[in-house]
Amino acid sequence: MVFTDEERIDRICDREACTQLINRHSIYHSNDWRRRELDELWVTDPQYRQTASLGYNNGYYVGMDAIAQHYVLDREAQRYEWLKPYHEAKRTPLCRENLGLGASAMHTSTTPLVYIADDGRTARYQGYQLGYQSTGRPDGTAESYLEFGLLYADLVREEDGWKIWHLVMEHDHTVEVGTAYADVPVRRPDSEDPLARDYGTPTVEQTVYNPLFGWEYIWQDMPRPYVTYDDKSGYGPGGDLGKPYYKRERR
Amino acid sequence: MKRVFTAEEKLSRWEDTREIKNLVGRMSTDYVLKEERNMLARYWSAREDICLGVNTGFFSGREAVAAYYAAEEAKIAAESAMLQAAFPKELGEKSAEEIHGVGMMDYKPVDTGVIEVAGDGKTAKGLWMIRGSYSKLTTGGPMAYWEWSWLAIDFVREAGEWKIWHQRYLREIDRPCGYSFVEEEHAYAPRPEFAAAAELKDAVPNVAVPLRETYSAHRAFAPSPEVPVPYDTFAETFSYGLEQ
Repeated sequence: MVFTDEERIDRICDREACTQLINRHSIYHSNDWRRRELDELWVTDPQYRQTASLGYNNGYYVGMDAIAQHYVLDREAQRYEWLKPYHEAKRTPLCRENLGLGASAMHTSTTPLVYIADDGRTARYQGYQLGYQSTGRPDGTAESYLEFGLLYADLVREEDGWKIWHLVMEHDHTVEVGTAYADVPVRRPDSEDPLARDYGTPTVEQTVYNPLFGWEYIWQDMPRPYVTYDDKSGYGPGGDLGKPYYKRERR
Repeated sequence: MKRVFTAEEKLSRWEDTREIKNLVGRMSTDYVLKEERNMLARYWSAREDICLGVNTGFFSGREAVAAYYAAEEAKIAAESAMLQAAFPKELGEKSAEEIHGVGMMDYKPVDTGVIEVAGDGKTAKGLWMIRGSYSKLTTGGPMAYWEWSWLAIDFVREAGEWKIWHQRYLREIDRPCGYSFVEEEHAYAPRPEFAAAAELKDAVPNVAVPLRETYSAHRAFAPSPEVPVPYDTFAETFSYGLEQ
């Protein structure tokens, strides 16, 4: 496709806006501003809200209601659970203001690869997340993990800018802070990974990413120049993401 | 912000964003090169009301920011001299300039940036994460630390160039590599050649309003500095400076 100079400028700006949208997601995620993230950064158009999805290694939450239940409400319940030991040991009130006591997280998004569709309506993103999360205990110790994984997203242009439509937060591996890298199990199935608890039970359970074999699929899954959105090469539950090569067409 | 921009303006604004990224990238590289002595002149506004926030407070005003960098430079010189004395065979014959910053890595890569240029093009704001590693000279010798930090900056355009007006550089995690984020800090056994490391001190802010307590299991949750949002003029948005 040949673009005019004006269109090329718009596409350059779109690429920057899409990268920064995912960076905002990473900051909000770090801050546990999850409701705010869904309200500000995710799709608002009803046709997209129904098909919006949030993916982890084990499947997809589909539709904004299911995403909110998992990403906001279940997470809040988990944070109350983490507060309970402080309540029991120190009588810390179990209230929203105290959520996050003794907790810290930073989730970066780096190495962005972004393509805007030729029709300008959607965009595809791939990045890498290096981060950590830490949960304190009333005795002053903490459970702290470094985490690594790929990010994929389909973004869509709405009236007030780019929004997240499909987001996949793949998880490669976890390293306990203070543990020598050499002592981390090389072949640790997700069921034994301490951060697999974050996946929950998705609406659509399927293997989206298998850390043991995942890297061989990146070539297949990475965004490429494209004309218009289609489900098959998108990052929602109808897409090929995570499928072994023999179950999909070679690109 | 309700301005509609022409194609040319859009391109200029995109270039502004790129220049701001490059400024922060150069500054990050200058930390590796131990160029703190040149940072004020290279990156900061000529204004008198500049300020630099660190976990313990603000260095407010040009004189205070200059004092901060002078103290950092004095620390680098003292560390270099100690390392020269500790390694006479490798460093003994070298000049003070040649050994400047020797052996003391300070790597602060920035990522996950959110940048907003004001509608009027006079100011801009940015927020980044830093996942860095650096060497701290202790009485037991150099020790590797890692840091996870927030970098929040208000920029102002001066003579066509972007410059730092207000900066907050706030460490969230600042711990020895390979050890717990919260337990007692590991320390090497003291060595006489590094005894003077006990005298190394951080500069003290002239506005001692703590901006961030580093992470501990007893700290209330501390989110990032506020995330930049689109704005038209600086008067209608928040500041990373002392006014907030």
